[in-house]
Amino acid sequence: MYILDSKKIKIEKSEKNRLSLTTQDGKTYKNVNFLLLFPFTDLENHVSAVIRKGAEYTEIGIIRHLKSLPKTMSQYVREDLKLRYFVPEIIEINSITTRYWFHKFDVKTDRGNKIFYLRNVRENVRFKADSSIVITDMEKCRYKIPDYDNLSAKTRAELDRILL
Amino acid sequence: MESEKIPVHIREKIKQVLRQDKLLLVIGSDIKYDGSFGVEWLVVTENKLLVFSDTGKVLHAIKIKEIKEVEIVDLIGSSALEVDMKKYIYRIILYSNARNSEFYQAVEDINNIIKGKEVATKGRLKPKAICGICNQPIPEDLGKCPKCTDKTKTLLRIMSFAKPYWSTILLIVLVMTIGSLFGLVAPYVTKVIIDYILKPDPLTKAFANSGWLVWAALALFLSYAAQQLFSGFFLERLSGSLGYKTVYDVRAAVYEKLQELSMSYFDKNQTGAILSRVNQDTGELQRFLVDFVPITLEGIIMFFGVGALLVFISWELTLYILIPIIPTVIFLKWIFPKVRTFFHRFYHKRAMLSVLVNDSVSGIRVIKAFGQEKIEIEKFKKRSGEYRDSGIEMVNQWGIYHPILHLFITFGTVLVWYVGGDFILKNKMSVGDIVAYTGYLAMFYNPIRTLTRMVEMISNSLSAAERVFDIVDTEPEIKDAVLPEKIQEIRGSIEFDNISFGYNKYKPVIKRMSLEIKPDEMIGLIGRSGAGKSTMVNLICRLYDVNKGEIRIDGIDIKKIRLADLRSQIGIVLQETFLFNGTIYENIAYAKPGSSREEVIEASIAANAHEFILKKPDGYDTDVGERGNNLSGGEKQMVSIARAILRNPRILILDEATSSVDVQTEKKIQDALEKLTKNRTTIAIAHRLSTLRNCNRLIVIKDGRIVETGTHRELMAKKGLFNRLITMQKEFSEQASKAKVL
Repeated sequence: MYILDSKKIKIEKSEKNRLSLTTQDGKTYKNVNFLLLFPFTDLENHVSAVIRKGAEYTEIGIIRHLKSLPKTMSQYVREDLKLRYFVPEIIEINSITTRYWFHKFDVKTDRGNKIFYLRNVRENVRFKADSSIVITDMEKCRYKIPDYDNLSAKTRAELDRILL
Repeated sequence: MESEKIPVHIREKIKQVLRQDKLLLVIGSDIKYDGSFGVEWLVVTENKLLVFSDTGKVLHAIKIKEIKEVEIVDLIGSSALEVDMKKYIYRIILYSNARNSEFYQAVEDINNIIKGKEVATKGRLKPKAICGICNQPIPEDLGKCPKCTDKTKTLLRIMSFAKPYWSTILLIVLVMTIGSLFGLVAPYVTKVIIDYILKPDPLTKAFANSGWLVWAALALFLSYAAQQLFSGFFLERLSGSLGYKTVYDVRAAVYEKLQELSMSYFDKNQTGAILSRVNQDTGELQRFLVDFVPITLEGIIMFFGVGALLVFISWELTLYILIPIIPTVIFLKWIFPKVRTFFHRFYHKRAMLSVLVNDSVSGIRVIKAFGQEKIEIEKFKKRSGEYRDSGIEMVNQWGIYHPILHLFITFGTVLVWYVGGDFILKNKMSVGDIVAYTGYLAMFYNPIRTLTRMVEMISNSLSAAERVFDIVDTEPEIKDAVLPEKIQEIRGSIEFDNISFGYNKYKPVIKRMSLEIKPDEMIGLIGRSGAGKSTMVNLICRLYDVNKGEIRIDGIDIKKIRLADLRSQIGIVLQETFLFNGTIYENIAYAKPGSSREEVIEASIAANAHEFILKKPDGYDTDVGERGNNLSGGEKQMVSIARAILRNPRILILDEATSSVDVQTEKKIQDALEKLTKNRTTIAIAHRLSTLRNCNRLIVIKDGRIVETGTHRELMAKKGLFNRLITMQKEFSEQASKAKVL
């Protein structure tokens, strides 16, 4: 495991919004992509920097904590991650209306408000062992709830009502 | 051009930019450049490619002639459209999975526009269906609008399964009516007892009609008995058998469909989900038909029957007792969603607990090996505690609502005694009337309670029914052609004509591949995992249909060959041998139903399996266990080779196991395979060097394309990918054998 030293590396943005990375050993890589190693449970730590070639990834190294990067750099990485991982986090459920055989979710997410439709609760609302939840809507878009226990009472009641 | 709803202000902006340019394509995304939800518009004209924000601001404007190519880049949960400008690559627009098909088609069109070609009119992806009622796009895998599906249709459809049993249904209604009528007798007999038998003669002060008491008591008993006979004995038998029979039919229909469906259906749907549809959802239908329908019918009959009697005894009193009904119904309507939340939470916790137990019991070996018993116990206690708490919460909630509900209902009885008592005092009614009345009243409130729950029950059952019908209605993607070609025995030539295929049609795995295989030729497929070898095999078996191009066997497009004929000519030995729970004999004979025992033995001898079967105390009757787990890896492979030999196919597909077996066993398997491959077309996904040497021709696959072809010797001399793979493998096995020596 090659850890990128957050104090010594450099992450820069080229004119076309591409990121380049210079490691502590002084090697520079262009068109670097950042991947989350724990995309559902941790958006802040263990970020892998890779070069993509076709379907293959070559890892340059791992950034342990985004927080320890200088501010502009961590900002670049966060932006890149936000665009790569489109799994909106549900902050609050305004309402779930059940019409006949599907559920209409009206939710507030970290990427704005959204209405989506869900067909089958048993198949599409998956509880993970750590009380996080992944919801897959009818269009195959995924939404996550990092911790069921941290939801507001109202949101929880809405969700529980449709659980089976 | 896609006919999408473009807001007026965007249309205006497009017009302004357009001038004399010709508009070719407009498509809306659902994610904004910053990754939040929102719309941006991709506009393509003859000369330009533009992206507008939802306010109409131009975000990108690129000249078509400067673009080399447009590409889709898969992200997680979304995709991006990137423009290759030779010097650098631009990311211009993001969209979520919901827009995959539109953008996939758009990219193809744009690339054609760039190359100056006509926009293809053939082979286009179907645009998303739009619902005729609500004008919204319908999700791809649904086929019908979720918002506008007619509820009653599903209900009728469930009922249509009960159609063959209409005589039973008539009988049920009859029995139910009779039973209910007998139920109405008892309170009336009580009235007679009080008013006529227990009434002392005003003159003698003695009970004049006491002789009748025994007859009245008998009548009371008989009416109860008759009611039990009809509403209990007969009704339950009839409605029970109706429910089970109907659900049997539904379940059979579902299972038949499952066997018919193509592989792609099973790729898209998880095994667990399919299982729960076959078991739980049909079970839900059963509850609906067995419990709910009769209770509701009975409720309706009672409601009207009892209602009529109540009015008959005293219409004035009936007006009074209607008063508490209104708040009761409102109350019920109000509490049910609340109580339901707690019930559902309870059910859910119960399910979660059973998942945990299931998981840990099947993984008990790992738990013990890692000494994690304590942690597992803790996990269990936590889940179990949640289950307990939700149970307590549910009981507590119910404990609040239930007494209130009861109070509402008993209030009716109070009213009867208060108002009715007054009527008695004024000599408008007798005591017997009131007693009978309260008896009927209890019967009257019961159906009201059931009927209020009807809505919820129906909606639960209907959604289960929908899921079930969803399977029944799915059209298998792979079907026989209208007039399929029947073939007896094929020669075994296989042709790939410029085929492209992807399990997800937006991500091709096989790209424009052409290949010719002669009859009786043995072909070895080589490549890294994920290169597309197994996919090629799947396509030959027609487990999936190619997206583009044609596969021909003996010159006939396999889509035109009768599926049963095609598959009867193909035998497969898979890398992961799957044996069904049963005996060795049953597993081998599976390949050819109706084969004699001797044929099976012959096949086992040819597969070198006979030898190990002899050693088993139970011989051919040895149980292979769940998934064949009672046999070793090598034994399983030999059984599956015997299975293929028995089938005697013209085309043999061999997916060689990578897992190593001991040298002796490998030799035996190799021997058996050599016999098996003789005189038939063989396609082997090969790993062992010995197999590779036996092949007439080796084909090296990379990223869904053929990169090298030739014999083992030719390819080694070429020093290409094949050479690299083989050298790597050799080095590895040398290292491994050195390690063994150490």
